[in-house]
Amino acid sequence: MVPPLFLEPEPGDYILDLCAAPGSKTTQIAQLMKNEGAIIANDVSIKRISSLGFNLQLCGVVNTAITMFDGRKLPLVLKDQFDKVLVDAPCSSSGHLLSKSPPSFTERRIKSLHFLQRDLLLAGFKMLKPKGILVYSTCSIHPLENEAVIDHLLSKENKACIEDFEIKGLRTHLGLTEFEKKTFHSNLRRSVRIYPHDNCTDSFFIARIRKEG
Amino acid sequence: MDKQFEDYIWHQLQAQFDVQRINGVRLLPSGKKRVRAVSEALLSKLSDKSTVSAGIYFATLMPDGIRLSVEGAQMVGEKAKKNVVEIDSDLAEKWLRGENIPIQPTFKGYVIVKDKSRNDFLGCGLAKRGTLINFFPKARRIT
Repeated sequence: MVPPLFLEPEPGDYILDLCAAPGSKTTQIAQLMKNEGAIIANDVSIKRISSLGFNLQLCGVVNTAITMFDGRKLPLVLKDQFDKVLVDAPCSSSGHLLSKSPPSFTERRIKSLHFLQRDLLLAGFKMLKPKGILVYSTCSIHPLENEAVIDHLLSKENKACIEDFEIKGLRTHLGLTEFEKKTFHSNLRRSVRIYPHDNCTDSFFIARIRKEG
Repeated sequence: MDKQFEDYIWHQLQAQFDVQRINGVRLLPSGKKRVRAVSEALLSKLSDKSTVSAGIYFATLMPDGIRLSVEGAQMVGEKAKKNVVEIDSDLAEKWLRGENIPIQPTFKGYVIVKDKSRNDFLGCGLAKRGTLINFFPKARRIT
């Protein structure tokens, strides 16, 4: 999967996966860390956490602990601690254009997800150490779930800075800086959109954000 | 307390499989009989958090020895110098279906099962009178 590659996990890192279940990205991060260092894999749902635990067991991941908190409240316990944070936020899955069952979502649902995504991203950023890296990703193509969420973070946190990042051989598009008469921060061009025709995958949005020291 | 527990487990593992400690991995009690494996770096971060679980299920303490989980057998198997039963691909398939399999009667107690052809460890079984009793998890068996 692409978002963990944007995070560039290294053995010895202390990483938070804020919305971890069912754990495919967490296990990939653990593999990239060679099962060393430490990962906190958080999710809010007990049902989803059981599949997360099962997948970590199957992959033999010893460097991960599972927590069950509302991610928006986690900074109350874990502020300024992590080298890297992955916020793979809950989304409308509007980018799942190649899957057998096409996505179904309403404008109201997208708006409600937008507020949740904003709060999760802010919480994730607060838990990052200075100079740490946060990756925000969704499998939605709707700007309200992507660029608008990052734009909100940039307006609230002056230490947040989007970084350019490239993966060799992966075709991507620049993030949007305007949508339906709304203008976003110009740095959003550094975020990445991946469409089905680029790499024969579903659609994704990914932004790599650094917390300046 | 945890240090004593861990020393006891490693001592048992050495007696059972002639295996040395694995660097960077700590073993913790979980419930009355279970053991979990956790990386050392993770353990140092866990002091102030309420976690649902940490690391993986490594083994169960039985009255007649330590029964390793599939992942426990995979962690220990490569370093184990005794009580490793090597089986061919036909027996490995039976094992993965949850069937008991025949082995040399010289083996006794809990042994690690290794698929010779794939060079992979398939968990732990109880050797008794020429039969290896299967503990492969039901949810992971092939049908």
